[in-house]
Amino acid sequence: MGKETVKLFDSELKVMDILWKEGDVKAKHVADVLTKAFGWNKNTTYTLIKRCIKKGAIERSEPDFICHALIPKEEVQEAETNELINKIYDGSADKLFAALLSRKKLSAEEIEKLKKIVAELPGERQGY
Amino acid sequence: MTLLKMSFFGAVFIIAVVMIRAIAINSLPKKTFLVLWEIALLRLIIPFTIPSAFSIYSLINYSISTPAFYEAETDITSPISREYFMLIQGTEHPTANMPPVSVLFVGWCIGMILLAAFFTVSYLRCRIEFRAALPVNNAYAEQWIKECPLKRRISIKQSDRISTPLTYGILHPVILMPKQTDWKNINQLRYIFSHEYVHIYRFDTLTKLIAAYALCIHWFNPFVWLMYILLNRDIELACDESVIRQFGDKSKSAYSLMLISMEEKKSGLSPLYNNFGKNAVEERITAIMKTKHTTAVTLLSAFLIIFVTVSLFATSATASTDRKTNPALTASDPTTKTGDIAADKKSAMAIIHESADIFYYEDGAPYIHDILTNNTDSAIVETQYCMLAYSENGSPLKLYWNFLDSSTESSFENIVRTKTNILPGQTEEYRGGWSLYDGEIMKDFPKVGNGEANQTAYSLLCLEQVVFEDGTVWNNPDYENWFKKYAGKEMDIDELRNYYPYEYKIVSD
Repeated sequence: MGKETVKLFDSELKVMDILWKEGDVKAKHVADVLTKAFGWNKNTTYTLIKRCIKKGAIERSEPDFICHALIPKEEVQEAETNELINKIYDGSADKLFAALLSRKKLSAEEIEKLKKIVAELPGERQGY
Repeated sequence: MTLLKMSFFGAVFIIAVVMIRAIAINSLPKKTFLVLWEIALLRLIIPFTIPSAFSIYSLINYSISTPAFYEAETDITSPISREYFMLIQGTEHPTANMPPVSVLFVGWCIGMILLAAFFTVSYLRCRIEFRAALPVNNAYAEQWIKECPLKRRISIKQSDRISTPLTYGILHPVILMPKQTDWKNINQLRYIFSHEYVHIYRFDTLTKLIAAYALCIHWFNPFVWLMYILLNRDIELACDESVIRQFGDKSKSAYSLMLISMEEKKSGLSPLYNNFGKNAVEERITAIMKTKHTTAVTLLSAFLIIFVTVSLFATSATASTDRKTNPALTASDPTTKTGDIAADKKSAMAIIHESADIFYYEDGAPYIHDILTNNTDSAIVETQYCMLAYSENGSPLKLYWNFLDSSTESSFENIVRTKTNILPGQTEEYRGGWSLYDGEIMKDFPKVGNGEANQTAYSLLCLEQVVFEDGTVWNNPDYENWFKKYAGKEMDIDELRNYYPYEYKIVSD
């Protein structure tokens, strides 16, 4: 029964840092500290705490919403960037369609092709 | 102007821009296309018309509509042996047996709400991540912000949730950098910041927001989707172009390679959509490498293209401009009528017959299509008017009606009565018309007259009576004069050609 490592994002790690440093504290305290440090909105922190609970990194006990770190710092892995945000935020319907229709990765060949375009087009010599 | 009409005119404009873009994307300043797309957005969102003689709609003479036509009762007979028709045109106005809220309208609403919800949810999901972004401790970034000439305060943050830089916020813009950014590579940072700065400076986020709004409204229109895709691309292209201009030709290769390396970083993860010809990245790299200096020639051609495109495709036909009134026929001098205030107020009001053209259905069957503008303060619900027909050389014709019950075979004039719904300030839609008989084409129809081909080249229409929503009835005081002047008379071609727009002054109730 191997213990699974928990993958957390940077912002979630900031929440965990407080618990590792200060031990069990109230959710409100975490929010206050992070507001001071990064200007985060209270709800932002609460959302992050909820995510950590979901991932099994935090346990929250009901009276006063005391947050307790379930895992030590050593067992946390950095989560991989997911593309979703870029994809959605770009507002690019190219990507919106991609999500809905055929998926196509930019292959190594295509990267090569792009580099070739840069090498071949007379970029530097153009202009008058 | 209804939504469908806006959508249609918008689509025509979009097609024009897409074609120009396909031909000239690398020879014109990219800003040109942004301007064109912004005009397309205005066209889609704001119901406006700029009449122009050069409009494509003037040139092709409206033969774009696919009219639907409902014929109805023909049982009203006038004492002076004219033929009356009751005609219900189109499907636009609710009648007794048609609910005012159509299935189409509900469908449109649902589509719009779904798409708007998609955008909103997407945005909210991103916002939570943006809000949880972390500060950046980088000397170059701090210095760059300090030197930033913009009034709005820009901040730079980082996040491990993204893999390429992006900008969000309109009033308080934030440049969000991926965590993996190489903070020591000042050259690269400079390109990235400049690129994002151009986005911020040009309010590109706002443009995208407006585009999303237009897409929500016109979600049923594939051309608006196409516009949305190309607009988002062209925003990037225009932005790249501006960065290249700033850093000079030498930067092209380095800048392109930087973009490619970003693509490389996310490759394996990033799905790219490969339709619409070239893929977006390739188009972008090629565009950067082919960036040209703005010269007087390119600038002039850009302005010219915008001007020509707009005047051809963004304008409507010269329906309501150059509106002349026929002195013999406009209702009499207001002074001869009751001089009270109400009459004075109403004297500014008018109904205009914009046009009456001979169109053809797909099978070649001709019909007369006329358009009214209601410049009064009350909706028009019913009209009765006389139609006269003339041949190509100005001889009066008998109109051959295509009504199957036709007791109405032919006469010089036809009086028709039609239900309608023209709101104050509104010009009628293009739909339907009065079918004419053409013996050569309509072989399956009962023969009318001697079964000859349609000869109607001009049709003069004159309102005899108008019923307003409030129940008031306006009778044209000049109708008899008009009838005497035109009915059965040989006409000068120029007079036939210049008859429209024909204005009826509404002087009294």
